[in-house]
Amino acid sequence: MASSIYFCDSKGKSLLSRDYKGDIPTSAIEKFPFLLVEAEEDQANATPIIQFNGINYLYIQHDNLYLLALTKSNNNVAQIFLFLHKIINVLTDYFKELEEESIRDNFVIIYELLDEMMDFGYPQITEIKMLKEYITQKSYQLERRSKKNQALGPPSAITNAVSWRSEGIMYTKNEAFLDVVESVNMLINPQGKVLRSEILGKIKVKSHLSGMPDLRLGLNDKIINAENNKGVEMEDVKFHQCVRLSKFENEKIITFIPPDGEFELMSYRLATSLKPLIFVDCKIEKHDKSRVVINTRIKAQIKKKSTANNVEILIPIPEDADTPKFKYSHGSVKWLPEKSLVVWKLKQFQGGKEYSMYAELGLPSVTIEDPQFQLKRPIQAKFQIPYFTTSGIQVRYLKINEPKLQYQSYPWVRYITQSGDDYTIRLK
Amino acid sequence: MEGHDMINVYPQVIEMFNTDDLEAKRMCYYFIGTYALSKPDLTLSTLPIIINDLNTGSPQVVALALKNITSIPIREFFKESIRPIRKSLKSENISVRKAAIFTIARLWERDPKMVNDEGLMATLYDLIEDKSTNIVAAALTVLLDIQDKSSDLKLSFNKGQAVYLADLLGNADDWDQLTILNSLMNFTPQTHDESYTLIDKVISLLHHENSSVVLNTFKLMLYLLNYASEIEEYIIRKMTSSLTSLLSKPDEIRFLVLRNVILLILSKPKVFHFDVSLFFCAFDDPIFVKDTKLEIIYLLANESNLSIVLQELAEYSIDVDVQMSKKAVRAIGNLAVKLEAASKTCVDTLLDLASNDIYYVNQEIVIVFKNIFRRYNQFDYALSKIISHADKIEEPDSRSALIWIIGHFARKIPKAESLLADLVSGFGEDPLDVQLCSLTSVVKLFIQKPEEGQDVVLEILKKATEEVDNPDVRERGFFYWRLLSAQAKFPGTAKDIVDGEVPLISNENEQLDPIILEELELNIGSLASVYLKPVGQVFRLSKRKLLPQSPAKSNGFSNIVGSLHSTSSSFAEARPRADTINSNNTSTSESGISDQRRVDEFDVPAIQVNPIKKQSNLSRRVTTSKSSLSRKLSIRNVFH
Repeated sequence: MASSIYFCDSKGKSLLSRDYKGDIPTSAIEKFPFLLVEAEEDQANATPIIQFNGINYLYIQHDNLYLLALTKSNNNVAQIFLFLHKIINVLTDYFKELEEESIRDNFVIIYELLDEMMDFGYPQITEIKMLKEYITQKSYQLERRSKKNQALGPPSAITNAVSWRSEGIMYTKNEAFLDVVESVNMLINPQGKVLRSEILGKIKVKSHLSGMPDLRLGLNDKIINAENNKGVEMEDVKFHQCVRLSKFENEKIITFIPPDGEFELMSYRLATSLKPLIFVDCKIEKHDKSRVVINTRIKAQIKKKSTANNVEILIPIPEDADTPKFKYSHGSVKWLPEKSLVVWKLKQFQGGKEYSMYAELGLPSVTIEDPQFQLKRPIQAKFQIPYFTTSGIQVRYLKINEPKLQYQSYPWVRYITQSGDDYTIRLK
Repeated sequence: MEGHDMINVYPQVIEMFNTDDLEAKRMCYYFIGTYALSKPDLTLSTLPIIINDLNTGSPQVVALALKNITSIPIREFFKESIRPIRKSLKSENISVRKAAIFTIARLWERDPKMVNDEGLMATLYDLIEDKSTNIVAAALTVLLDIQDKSSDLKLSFNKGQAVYLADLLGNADDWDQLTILNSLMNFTPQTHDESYTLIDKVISLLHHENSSVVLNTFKLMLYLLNYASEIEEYIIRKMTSSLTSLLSKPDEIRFLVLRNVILLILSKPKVFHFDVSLFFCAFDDPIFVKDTKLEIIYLLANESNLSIVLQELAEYSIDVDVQMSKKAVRAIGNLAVKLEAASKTCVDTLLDLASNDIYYVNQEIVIVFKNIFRRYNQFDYALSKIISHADKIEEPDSRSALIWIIGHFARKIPKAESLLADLVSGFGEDPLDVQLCSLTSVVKLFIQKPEEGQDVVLEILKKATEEVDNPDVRERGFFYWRLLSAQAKFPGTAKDIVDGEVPLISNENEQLDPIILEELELNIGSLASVYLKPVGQVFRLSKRKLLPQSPAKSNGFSNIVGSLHSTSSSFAEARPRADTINSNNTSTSESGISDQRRVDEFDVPAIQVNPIKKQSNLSRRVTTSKSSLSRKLSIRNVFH
């Protein structure tokens, strides 16, 4: 339970606040800018949770804004952070962009939303779709409609068992799109050994279905057989709240009534030792005070039929390097001095192929930089491989059943594997 | 809207109050709530309007009025709230009923007696059996909230109630699930079977997308497992992976999960097994995440994963971030002290790092070597290598450490006297800690090598007693002076006192107190689990939680059935133990006085765990150095 919620600017000064409990004096927020300055000075203690004078400040950042909850009691931390993120999602959905300006312009509706989303410090209705049904942004323009809505109050769905879907949704063409997206994270040491690798998978659904459809998703036995240690072990699966969890637990069947529109049905994590999908071998030699020479070789270690798209290899170079010269047979190479990077881009990279690139950059003869102070930044690789999942997971079927309407429906599935945020190769 | 003169428009706001427009009304309520106490008489005049609002047919207006009537801290408002609460509880509209339930909680904060006298507590209990899950959850939320603050309310569910509540989980939304999970912590299984029944009902929630639901399910299961006679291994595996899969969530959630992983490593090292490579840092992790991961890596290190751990730590110690780098070096040094079998490898890694000649790395290396030399005798070959960097050691803590090393091992170091003389040449300008350390070291040198040390000891004692203003330094100077003068009368005394046996850095187990751990386990995912401190210490008003007694309470955690990790026994041996190193506490360790902790037992935070800094005084950081007394009293943690 949060005592109060604050929106603060980049300096930590309060822009808007909502007090739910009245047990924390307003002077508490005035300390926040100082706490931020202190955190700035001492990065290791710049945790998102600060305790000061018996008051706990839990905050998240969104662009130039701080969103924070204050509390005095021993709280459920995840609940508060998730709620703060939820506020950002909701407000971004309402105002397109959430920034100082849009907060000042829309404070009335923000109060209204904060009133509905939390009561006495406990989260209430946080589903965007539900909120939008009765809190409309341009109510002054649509006066009549908003009056009508006021009389109606929160929509019936809030009281339904299926709180995430309203009744009476209609589509002329009933379709469901599934996207299976796997992000591969990998940490590779200078010798090419994989230190850590994991697959973060997601199944995203875009549902354009009428009525109250009941869906059943069939996957190949990668998940189902997790207990038998057969094949790849799916370490952990998390489901959207619409999935009947006990059904999955007992029968390994994924059934659900989907929310309307786009949502993430499930996510999973697989810790498994993988071979690098895009192998990068990079040697960077610094010739004393004159130039730096980069030799890079990359290889697509995927099936011959597959192709990696939008491949980018980001190679760190010294900050004061200049006058680049490149030699390469494929793609394009760019020097980004503001980021101290050389970026090698390949639109397409077919499985089994191997390319190399040579770059030479000049270094100033006089360098202010302390020679001992070497920037330790790794090489990063980015890529996308369509029609392919690293884990081998496959959608066998998606059965759609709407008991009353009995319509014809069309499920579509796409697969893609891509680099995660952390596909890095360390340099010597 | 920030202006202070807003109060002057109060009368106009009251005029506005009767509007039909909900938005305008909402703002009026907000205004009145803010300025209620500044103009009590005006505020009182709004009461009829609010009562009128409560009688309208619009659910939203009624809910709004309910939420506000008890927010205004004036007695008349409380009294007038009772009837509308009763009426609204019977409303057909769920949101009005929920608002009424939360209004009871607000009223309780203002006047608990009124809530009791009016029988509203009993009403809340009745609502637990309501048809609507929303209402059940709201009633539970309020009861739990009151339980936290009230001295006499103690919820306790029997098996039937617990099962009834658990069965509601399937139809509840995530926030309601959270409440129900939390309320189930008030159920004490009386038999092992009761515990298994409940576990079966909640285990599937470990797959929930909401991290908070996952953490609370974890907490509940860990609690229930205390009442199980044996635990199937797959349950533990499932719990472990449900936690680690949260490591791909936003930074704040990851931080929370990482802190709770530390808790589990400390409290149930034999039960939960975490793969150390999960906690390797990504280069763009925020510092606070890296920092926490580093701690976990240190705690998880044992003989079997030593080589990858050391490689990883060595990688961090040449990180761009200076603090991270220093902490990594500190971790390697602490590992050397913690795991005897690993000490040689650690020492070699450190020497290798030192040969890179990176300024800030070497400052830290000297500090960790002080403890390594103190703990082990076999690393004399490292001594000369460390000494060879002496001219580049500049930071106060590092210089103290180096001075201590030279003074303590003067016998083994050729030309120790000239080295030390160089190091203490700026004695007058040195910071206090370095001065104190220098004093002791020159005396040690003199005791070990009277001929060679004579000049420098005289010079420093003279400066300490004549030129330095600080009473600590001066007094110590005089003390040593007299001690050395009395040597003829009491031969050997000076040696015993200054250069006697140094207490061994022990591997004494400094686990958190089991009771504190038990309490923290019941608070997984809470703020206390982030601070890793006893709840009562951080939240003075909150109640202590302990495992309730029951015939079913047993030691199921030692009885895990199924294919156990083969490494479990070695893991247990290599269980993280913090060592009594007060690496920064130079003044005490030199004089050989072992550091007795006199702090109240329950006031001791997680010693080996990096405590989140408790910020009690913003100006504290301005003061440059602590007095040695405050230093003795403060317990330094392993990384700092």
